[in-house]
Amino acid sequence: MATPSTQATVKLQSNDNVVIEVERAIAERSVLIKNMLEDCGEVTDAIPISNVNESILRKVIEWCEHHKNDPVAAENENDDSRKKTTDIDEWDQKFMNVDQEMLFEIILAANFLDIKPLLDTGCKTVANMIKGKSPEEIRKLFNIQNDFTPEEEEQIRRENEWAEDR
Amino acid sequence: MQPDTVFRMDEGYSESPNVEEDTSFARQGSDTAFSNWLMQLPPRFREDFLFNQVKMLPYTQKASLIRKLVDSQHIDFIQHLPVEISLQILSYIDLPTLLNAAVVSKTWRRFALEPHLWRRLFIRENWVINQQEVEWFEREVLPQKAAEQEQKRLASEEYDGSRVAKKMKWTDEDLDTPMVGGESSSNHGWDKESERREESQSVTVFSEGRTATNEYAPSLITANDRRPRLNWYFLYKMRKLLEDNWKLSNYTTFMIPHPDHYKEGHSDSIYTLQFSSRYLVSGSKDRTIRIWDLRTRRLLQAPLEGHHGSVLCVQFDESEDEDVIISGSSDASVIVWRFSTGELIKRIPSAHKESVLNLKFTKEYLVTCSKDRMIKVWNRQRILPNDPNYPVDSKVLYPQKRLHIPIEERRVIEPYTCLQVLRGHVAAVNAIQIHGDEIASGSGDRILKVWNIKTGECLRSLPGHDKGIACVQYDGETIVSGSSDQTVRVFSRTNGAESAQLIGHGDLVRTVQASTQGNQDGPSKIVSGSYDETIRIWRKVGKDWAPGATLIFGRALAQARERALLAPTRQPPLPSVEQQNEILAALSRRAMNTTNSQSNGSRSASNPLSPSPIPDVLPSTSTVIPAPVQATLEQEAAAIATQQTNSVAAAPAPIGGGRACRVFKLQFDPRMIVCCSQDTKMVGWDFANDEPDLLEASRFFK
Repeated sequence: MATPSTQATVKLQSNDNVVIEVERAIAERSVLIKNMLEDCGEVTDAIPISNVNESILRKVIEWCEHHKNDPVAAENENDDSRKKTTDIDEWDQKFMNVDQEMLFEIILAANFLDIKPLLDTGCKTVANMIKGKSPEEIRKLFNIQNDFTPEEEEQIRRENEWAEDR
Repeated sequence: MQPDTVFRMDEGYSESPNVEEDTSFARQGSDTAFSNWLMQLPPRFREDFLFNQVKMLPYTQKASLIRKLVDSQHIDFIQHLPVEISLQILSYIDLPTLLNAAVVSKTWRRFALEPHLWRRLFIRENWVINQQEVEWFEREVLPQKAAEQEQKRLASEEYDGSRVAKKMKWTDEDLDTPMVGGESSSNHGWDKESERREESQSVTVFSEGRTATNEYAPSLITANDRRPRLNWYFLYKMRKLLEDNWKLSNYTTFMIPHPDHYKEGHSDSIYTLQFSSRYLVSGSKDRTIRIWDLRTRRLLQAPLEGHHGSVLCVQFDESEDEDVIISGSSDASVIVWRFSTGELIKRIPSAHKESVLNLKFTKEYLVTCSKDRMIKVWNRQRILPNDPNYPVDSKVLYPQKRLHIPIEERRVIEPYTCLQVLRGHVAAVNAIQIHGDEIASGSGDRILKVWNIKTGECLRSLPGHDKGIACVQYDGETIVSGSSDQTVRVFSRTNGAESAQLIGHGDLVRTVQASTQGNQDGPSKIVSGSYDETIRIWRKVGKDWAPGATLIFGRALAQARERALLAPTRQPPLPSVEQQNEILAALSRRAMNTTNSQSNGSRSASNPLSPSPIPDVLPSTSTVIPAPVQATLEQEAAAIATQQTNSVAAAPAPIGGGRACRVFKLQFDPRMIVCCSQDTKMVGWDFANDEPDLLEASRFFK
């Protein structure tokens, strides 16, 4: 019988009832799971991940596997320095090259599982999709209804002129 | 992967209650045996299979399916993600795109103008927030505003009998509904209905009468929040427009003293000044120091008399725990005053052998420099032998350097004891600046030096200027200096290299200040003042420094005078009479306290101790100034240009007409430049330019 510290794998159960066995170290990229394991000691039953379906869970595990050797970011990392850069490394860019539905599901899963670097990467990916786009392009990109009247929109655009370089 | 006990793939249905919630992202039907079979196929086969199925659909269904598919690839995340995640996404977006996002839709506008995002952008610009003012506003003004809003809301509910009217605006409901994650714990200040309900109970008694919040521009407060917040979008915008006014030379000018109260002014040239958000302190050849209310431009108390020569340098800190002014004079003395009362606390009669040309203090140290070529470091607090910061490195206290000085051999060091004498300059030391543990100094010997304040060690010597150095600024990396060679130069502390030379002034550059605001690496703006009677603004554009506006002291003074004549009844903007009285009351309260408590020094007898504001017409005693004994202007100038033989040659004729106005000292903040010269009046350029929104917002900038 393995002791808690040597338990090598954990089982995760998606909300569509698929159980996936993963290395404990990989699963612990999720702070939620890490805390759960620390609180409960050894867990032999599958851990239900109630908000995440199988395909997303596999995707998230894939990310965790690739990033399992990343240093854990310090808790009190300067908020603003983190926010300054929207650079995403190449592997992550490819990883995030999925349709919007899956992208937002990954973001929600990362949020639920408390995997901050994945959440950040997901958010940056969306931000990069928006960057440099006109209002009309943003509407198209996300299928957003423009509920401003043409007059309102014109007024807001005029208001925005303050930001131009002098 | 091993199938497990809980693995129920072939049951064909699910007992999990969570599947219901999952329908938002369309995985309905995935649990049927058919779809399980389908899912096990490789994606390519799946695609072929489904394509053939879809092909067989009737046209209408086919079209609708395509539309659904396309829509699923374009999801408004603000509708689907928790508020804080949407905001995190927007926090990565640059300013122009964020403003585009604010045009997308009403909901997007609400998100894009979220104050948190703009506060972050504000900080990212390296703009400085006046935290004290923000805290005050959030503590005093916002709750009151909230109460008012709540009252209005309740009233309108009563009349309408419904909450329909409220729906016309963007409310929190609009933000709460899109939250699908359901896990969002923090809601970034977006309120919960229940909290509001509770608050409303306690504020209904509030009378409509006291509405100090009405004095504030409505734009300062977020319009559509249930709980009013400081509108950082507005503040960001105003900060940017203020900076634009600098670039476009949009300003109004003013003078100190207020033109209606000339008699409050100095009677001779003003050598030095410093201002905070509320006060200005000036030191003059008339040997007095005067404390002014920056907003009314009125003298706050009787002039401080105590020096026997020109007041050449001054620094003050009005904060309650410091409450101090320190001044240096051509009589070689330094005086420590209590700011709130004007009381003389401590006099260092012979701080130096000659004129004290400049001084700077921190909480721990006072640093002075002199025409006698020396820089001295003094302690400001009492130091006990067991103090971990006991100055064991002091060469004055311990001339023979030792590695260890036992506690028994240490004595208590009283405040304002000289700890270090920094020798190295071979001419007058005209200017110093403290940054952290380092002192930067500029001398008539044309050399800039950097010293360690604790050990007194000279860390760097930077040559570069062709003539004596008159002024210096230091931020830990960049040293900016002005010289009798008519240039301003920018040096790097790290490699000692000169990175820029700002050429334009036509005479000695006597005063300079640099600001790093609006720039991530190093100074972004330099303002310099010269004996050519002008002030020049220099701006970092890319890697180079570009000359901006040139301001002429005499002309500004004339404009300010004219402006005052044209609008004689006009009161300076801000603050209300109430606020004024509060300030004055607070000052006199503090005055009472301090006079009751111990006081080491005594005020000069000719100067009545009156902490209250002085009347329009000063008692005649304080306007009668004894003739200067020494330190004429020429002598000061000579101190600066000791090494130089023909310093007076290139001086142009005065531009302002009448009295010459060589610029001696300037200071600027995000809103204004204030400057003093040979004239008896000080001049300010206010880049808020009388624009009401800018006047309102400026208080939050520093």
